[in-house]
Amino acid sequence: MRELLRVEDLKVQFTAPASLNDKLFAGKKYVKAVDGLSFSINEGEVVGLVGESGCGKSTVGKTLVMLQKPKSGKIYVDGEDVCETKDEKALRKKIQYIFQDPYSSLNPRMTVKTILSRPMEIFGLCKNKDEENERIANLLKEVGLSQEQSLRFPHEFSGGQKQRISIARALAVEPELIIADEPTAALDVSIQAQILKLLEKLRTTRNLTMLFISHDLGVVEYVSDRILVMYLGKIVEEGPTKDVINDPLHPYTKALLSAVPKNPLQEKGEGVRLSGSIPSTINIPQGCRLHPRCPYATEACRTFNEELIEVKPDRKVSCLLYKK
Amino acid sequence: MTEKDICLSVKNLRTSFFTDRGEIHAVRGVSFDVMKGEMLGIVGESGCGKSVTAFSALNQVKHPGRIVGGEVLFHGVDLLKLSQDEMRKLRGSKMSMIFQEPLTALNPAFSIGWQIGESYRLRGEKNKKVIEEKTIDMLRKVKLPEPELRMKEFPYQFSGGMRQRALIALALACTPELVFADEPTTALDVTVQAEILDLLQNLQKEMGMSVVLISHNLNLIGERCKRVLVFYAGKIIEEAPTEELFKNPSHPYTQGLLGSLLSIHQGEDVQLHTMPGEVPNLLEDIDHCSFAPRCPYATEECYKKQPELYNLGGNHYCSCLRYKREEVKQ
Repeated sequence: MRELLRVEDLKVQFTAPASLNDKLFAGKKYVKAVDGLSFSINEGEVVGLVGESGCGKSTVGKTLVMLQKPKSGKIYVDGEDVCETKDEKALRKKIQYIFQDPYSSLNPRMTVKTILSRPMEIFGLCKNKDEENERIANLLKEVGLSQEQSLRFPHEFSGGQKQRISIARALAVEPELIIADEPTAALDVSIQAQILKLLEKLRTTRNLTMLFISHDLGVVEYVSDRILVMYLGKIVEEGPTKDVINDPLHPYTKALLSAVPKNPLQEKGEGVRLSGSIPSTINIPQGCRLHPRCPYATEACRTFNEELIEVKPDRKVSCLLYKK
Repeated sequence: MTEKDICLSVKNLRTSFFTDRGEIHAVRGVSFDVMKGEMLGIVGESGCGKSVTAFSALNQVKHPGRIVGGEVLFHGVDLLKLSQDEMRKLRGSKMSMIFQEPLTALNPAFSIGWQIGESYRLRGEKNKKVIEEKTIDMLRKVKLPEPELRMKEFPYQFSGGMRQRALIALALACTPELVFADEPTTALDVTVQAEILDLLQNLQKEMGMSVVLISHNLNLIGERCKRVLVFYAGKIIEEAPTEELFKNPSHPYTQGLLGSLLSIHQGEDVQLHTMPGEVPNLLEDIDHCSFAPRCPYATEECYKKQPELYNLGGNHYCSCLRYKREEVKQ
C-alpha cells in the first residue's frame, strides 16, 4: 500500500490574546493547538480523528491543506514536503476539504453548476463545455441530486442537500485525499445517516482516501478503518477502529467511550469518568497532559514524556500504564 | 396513574408562528401528562416542535409565535388563561427551564452569584446574608468548585460545563416542581455532558421534581428517562416506556430514527438504515399522516386522514394507521 500522507511532529501555535499587564511583563503567550503530532495515511484508507472541542482536530485538517501555517514539523503528501512548497494550487488538486457547516461553505451567489465547474476550470480538467456539463451531471448523480437542480442557488437546498453539494465540489477535481471536517455535525440524525451512507458508497466506487474529523465516536466507528484519538493537541491512542472501540487502552479513550450515550438495551461496560474540565491549551499540564483529570494518575505521570508506546502491532498508546 | 400523580397535563396544544411567509404550524395538537417525580423524555429532530412545546407549557411563546389552542393544566389550573403577572409568579418558583445555550441564557453583565440570588430577592428575601448562604448552598449542590469565590465571577470566566451548572443552579434555586431541560447538554462535549446529566438526575431524585428532558439524541433519552415521547412535525407520533420503545419501535419514523442512530460497540458490522426524504414543510396545514411521504408502508389511506395515537397496550401509543384500533389516547 502506498503511503499518501505522512505527518511528522507537527506543531501549530496561535498567539493568545493577552492583557496589557501580560504584554508588558510576561511576554507573548501561545495557544498550542497542535503539539507534536505524527501519523500517516495509506492510499484507500479512511482514518478517523476524534477528540473533544478545542483539542486541535480541525486545526490539523486546516494545516494539511495549508489554510494554516504550521510552526514546525513536516507534512509529506506523496513524498513531497508541502510546508516548503510554493505551489499551493497543485496541493489543492491533491487534497480537498469538506467543511463542517454547509450553510457557510457554499457561495450564496453561485449556482450549483458554477460551484462545481469553477474547480474544474481552475485546474483545466475539461476540454470543452460539453465535457464539463457531462461531468457535472455525473457528479450530481453520484451524490444523489438531480441535474435539474444544477441551476439553483444554495439557499434553495436543505442542509443535507447542501452537504451533498460540498461533497460533489470536493470530488470535482478528483483529489487523492479528502479531509472531511465534521461533515455531519450540523445535520439531524436521519440526514446524517444519509450522508454517511453516501460517503461509504463513494468510498467503494472511487476508492477514496479520507481523513475524517469528528467528535462523535459512533460516526467515526462507522466510517473509518483506523482511529486516532486526540487530546489537547496530541494523539493519545491510535489503532484499528474495532480494537480501539472494543478494547480502549488510554484512560481518555475509555472515558470518552463510556460518556457517549448508548442504547439502553445494550450492556454497560465499566465506566471511567474524568474529573474537572479540559485545561487551557495555553498552559498544558506538565508530563502526561491528562494527569490532573485521570483516575489512574500517579506521581510518575507528572514527568512522563508522552511518547506513543507500541503495545501491539498497529496499536499505540501514550500512557505510562502500558510502559514495560 | 391517577389524577393525583399528574403534575402537568398538556391537552391538544397548538402553537403557530405567524411569519411573512404564512403560518408555521410548529406544534399541531400535542397531548401528554407529566407525572410527579418523573423524568420524561422528548425526542425529535430539529424543527419538530419539541422546544416550542416546552415554551408553550410555560406560556412563554414570543412574538410572532402564539398559542392557538389547547390547555396546559398545572395542578388543575389552565396556565394559558393566567395573566403574565400570575405566570411570572409561577415561573421559577413552581416551574422552570434549563436552556440549551448557557452563554446566552446568562446575563453577561452580572455575577453568577447575583443572578442566582435574584431568584431569592424576587421572592421577598431581604437579608443579604441569607441570600448569599442560599446561593452558595445551591452552587454547592450543582458541584461547582469553590462556590464562595466563584459566585463573584461573571459568566465569561466560566467554562461551558460550569456555565451549564450555574444555569441548573439558577433553574433549581427555588426548588420548582417541574423543570423543562431543553437540550441542556447539546453545546457541551460528551465527557462533560455525562457529568451534567448525572448531576441533573441526582438532583431530580433528591428534590423529587418532575423533569422533562428534551433532546435530539435518542440514546441519551433512553439512558436517562423511563418514558419517552417521540415528536415528528409538531405531533407526538409515539409514546412508550423506554425499554418498550427500544425493543418494539412501532412507528416507521421511530424505527428509522433508531436505525440511523450510530451507537458504539455495536458488534461486528454496523448497520445503518436511512430514511429517504426530509421533514415536511410546516407552512402547510398537513391534514394526513405527516410521515407518509417518507414512509415505506404508506398507503392511499395514509394521505386521507390524520392517524390518532392508538393504544398498543402497556402504555405504548403509536400514531400510525397500520396499528389502527378502537382504543385511542384522549
